[in-house]
Amino acid sequence: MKKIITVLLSVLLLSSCGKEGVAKEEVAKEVVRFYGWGGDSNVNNYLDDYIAPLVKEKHNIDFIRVPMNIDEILLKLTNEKEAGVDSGDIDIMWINGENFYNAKKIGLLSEPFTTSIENYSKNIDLNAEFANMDFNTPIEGLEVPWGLARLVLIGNTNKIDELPKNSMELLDLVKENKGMMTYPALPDFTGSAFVRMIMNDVLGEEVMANLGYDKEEIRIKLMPAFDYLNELEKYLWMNGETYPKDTGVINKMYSDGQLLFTLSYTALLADRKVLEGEFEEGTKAFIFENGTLGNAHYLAKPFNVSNSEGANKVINELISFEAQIKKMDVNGWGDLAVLDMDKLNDEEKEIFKNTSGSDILELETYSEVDAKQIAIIEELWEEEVLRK
Amino acid sequence: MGGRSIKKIESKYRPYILLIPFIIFIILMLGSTSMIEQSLGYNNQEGISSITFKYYEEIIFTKVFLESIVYTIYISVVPTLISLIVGIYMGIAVHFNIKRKNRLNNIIQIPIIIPYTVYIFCIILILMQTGIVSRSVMNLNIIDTANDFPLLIYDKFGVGIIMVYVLKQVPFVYFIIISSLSNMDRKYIDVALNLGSSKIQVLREIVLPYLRNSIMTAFFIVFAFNFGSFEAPFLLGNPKYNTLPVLSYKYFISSDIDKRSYSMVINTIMIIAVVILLHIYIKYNERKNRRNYEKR
Repeated sequence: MKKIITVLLSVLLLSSCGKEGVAKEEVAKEVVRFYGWGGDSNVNNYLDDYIAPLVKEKHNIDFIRVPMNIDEILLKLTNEKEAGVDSGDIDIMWINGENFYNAKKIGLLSEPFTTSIENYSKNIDLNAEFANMDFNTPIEGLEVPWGLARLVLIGNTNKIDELPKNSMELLDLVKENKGMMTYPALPDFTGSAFVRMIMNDVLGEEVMANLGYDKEEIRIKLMPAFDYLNELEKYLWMNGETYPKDTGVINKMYSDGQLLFTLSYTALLADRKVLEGEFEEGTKAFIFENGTLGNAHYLAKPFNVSNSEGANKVINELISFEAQIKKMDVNGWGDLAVLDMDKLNDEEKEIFKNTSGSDILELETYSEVDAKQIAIIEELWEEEVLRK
Repeated sequence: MGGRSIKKIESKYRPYILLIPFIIFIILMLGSTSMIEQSLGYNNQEGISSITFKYYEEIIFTKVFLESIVYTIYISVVPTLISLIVGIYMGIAVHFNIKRKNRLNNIIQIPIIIPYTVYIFCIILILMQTGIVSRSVMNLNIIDTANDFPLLIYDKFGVGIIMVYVLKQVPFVYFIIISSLSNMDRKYIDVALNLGSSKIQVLREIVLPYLRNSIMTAFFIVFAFNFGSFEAPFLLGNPKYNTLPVLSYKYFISSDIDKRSYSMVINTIMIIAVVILLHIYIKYNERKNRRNYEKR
């Protein structure tokens, strides 16, 4: 009797083991899990309604989008790394900037994989800065550019005759219209970028490229820009006594007619908001003649990716010509494409040129300072502008 | 004899035994986030394994941090006091003047159920410069443009924050007071009134001393909450003035990852502050109980 039970039990145990192993393999082949910020329904709809059916049809892959903020993703991966989990849930993650820097430093990313993505060399200018550096961190094949962002100012042309072309013209205009402009308090991402754009315009790229890391030295180097910002502050909303928390508040104030300007890291935001009727007709995005700040966002794979090949296929689709043009649709997400005009064929060129937003991509971008310097600039802004 | 001493031990440790699940939870929480380790510069990912008080020294004496402490105390004490005064007044007034208070109590309960974030959102819609109040005033031609309306959120004095706290916490204080009063023996009051005391005297000599314990409890709970609360100061505050939780958050999201240690330092300090406060509260209660015991 005992024997029989033992045999039965072991058979049961073995069979269940086998089943589980097989099932896991099958599932792993079909599913690609995309982890990234899920706070914008336009982005989510693009992935769920366009990308997911596309990869299902072409590669029979189930595309699962898991909304999670990047800091939580990195925390999850850090924990998994410490616990020695070789096969995680994340196949693709959406990342850039300091998070990429940290992930690379701690070793949370997969082996370099960009060469195995067909569309990478086919569609993207490999000499472009965004293909090689992510906020001054060398990319080294660890992530694939997915989209571009440009900081734009947005102005109401019904009330302004001529949009300002540099920081001095902006100051004059704000002086004439007291209290009609503001920007988000740093360390808000967009506010921080706006301040760096002003610094580039006031001081020149040369100074910004050689800031160094000593806080007091940086303070001296940036002083003319802080003087400018303090001068500007006198004519800002509430005389600069307070600054809004984020661009959401500023957009609301702009659409209520309380401000003449707003600003955004989404270059096509103005177009979309006009379409939606939130901003009044005549709202136009613009940048200074010397250029603006830009950055790119990327797709990467974690060190413990479980479906590496599936992830490659999906990433390849995400940077295909069609998917990138669809991504630029103002009615949808409205995110700038990473496509290189010179690499496209004539028909594609025509389509790309007629997509709104492609003109913004032709303008100059300043190179970015790195994460450590950004933190110092934000501290200095608090000391020299906010608390002065 | 023996049985009695066992009982004594039991009753001595009973509270702690009952608290075990909670204590385990706290230890797990502090342990898994490795907050205190990080505040001491111990960081697994980067292989730094020596303990240092560097981060404490670097932040504790900065102007930003000291100002933040002052502002945190301001933003937690002021609404606490307002809530206490209004809540106690309401509780006493309702208890002694209204016979059937079930329906009233149901209505007063509503704010307790509504989450803070909803309150904050409502306050923004009502008080912002293009909000409901401002628009009404504009329609009455009292002010011309939205920018003329005084700044009630994102302002220096934290008007919006204080309003959210007060609106939410008055009902809380009210219910503490009401439940305490409903257990009160009316005899004392009747005797005092019979002997010719005025209403004010009754309030001062009987009702308020009776409520003292409940008021202290309400004060500590409300104050401790306001002290560590994040969302209202974050969403309604002026960027110039940061409460400790907001300052901690700022350091935490800084693009310089080394600044996270400051965030952990602030969190640790806040926990220590609350523990000290709790200790004071427990000591106060003990003293109070002992005195009551001796009186008998």
